[in-house]
Amino acid sequence: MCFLSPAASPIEIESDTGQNNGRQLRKQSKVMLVLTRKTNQKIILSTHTDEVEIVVLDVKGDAIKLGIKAPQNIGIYREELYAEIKASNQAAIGTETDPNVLSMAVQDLPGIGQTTTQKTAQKSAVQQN
Amino acid sequence: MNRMSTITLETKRFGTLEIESSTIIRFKKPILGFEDLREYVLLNHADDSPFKWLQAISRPDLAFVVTNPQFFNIDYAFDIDDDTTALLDLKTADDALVLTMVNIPADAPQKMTTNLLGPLVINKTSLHAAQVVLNDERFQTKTPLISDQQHVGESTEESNPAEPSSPSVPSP
Repeated sequence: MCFLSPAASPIEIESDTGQNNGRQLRKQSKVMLVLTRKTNQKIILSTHTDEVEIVVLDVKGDAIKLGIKAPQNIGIYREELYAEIKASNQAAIGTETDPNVLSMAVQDLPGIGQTTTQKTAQKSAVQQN
Repeated sequence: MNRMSTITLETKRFGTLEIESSTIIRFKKPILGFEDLREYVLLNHADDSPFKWLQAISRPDLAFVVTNPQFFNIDYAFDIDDDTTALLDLKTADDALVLTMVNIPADAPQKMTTNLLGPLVINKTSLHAAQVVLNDERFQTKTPLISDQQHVGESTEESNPAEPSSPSVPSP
């Protein structure tokens, strides 16, 4: 069976380049450790401060149910959502937005940005007329 | 030294600002893609503007435009997951300030969109914050803030009087 130590033999190492040894590649985060786990077996990811536990709960066809225990400061995301939001965040600064452009974009829009109080005030003004 | 504990903040858009360090927002869960930038300050865009700027403390050039989608009549409510409420110490919904990031195309600012899928949640008291990733099919990352009917400056035609053109000026 599989021991979760870098020195244990059952760990396969896949690399992008195949040129460097596994240790160097792992430092560069380009390596993928491939482990075989059965239902209810776990994987522990550990740093000197945090520990994350991943357990295989169920396997049905190509759907695998995973349970993840992690400290609250560690985000857990479905990859496709993570990538989409990250891209959206990065696009949000990509435009070098100028404050004047922002003001002009909304200045003619009725009702935009007004608080309820302002709307009410406007309504009363209309009714007085 | 300074009793009010202010810091001098260099910004590209707003020049040099003096801000109180008690107003600094700290992201416990980062803005995705900006994991090394955890500290920001919220600046008003202008009086009565629906927008604010989330200015990074350590990057003068980096500021996100954020808004509350409800200013744009977007129905926006979601459940905050337990991990986030615990991380930010949120006891009630009123403890949280929710803002969404605005994406403004440089060539067509009126086509601005906002990211409803990854809102920023801020504890109003502690100013601890998180970008939350919602697992909610109702929301997208590119929701238009301004509907086509509202592009009044662009349109050459008068708006159809049969349609309600302005939500804020109801007929008596």
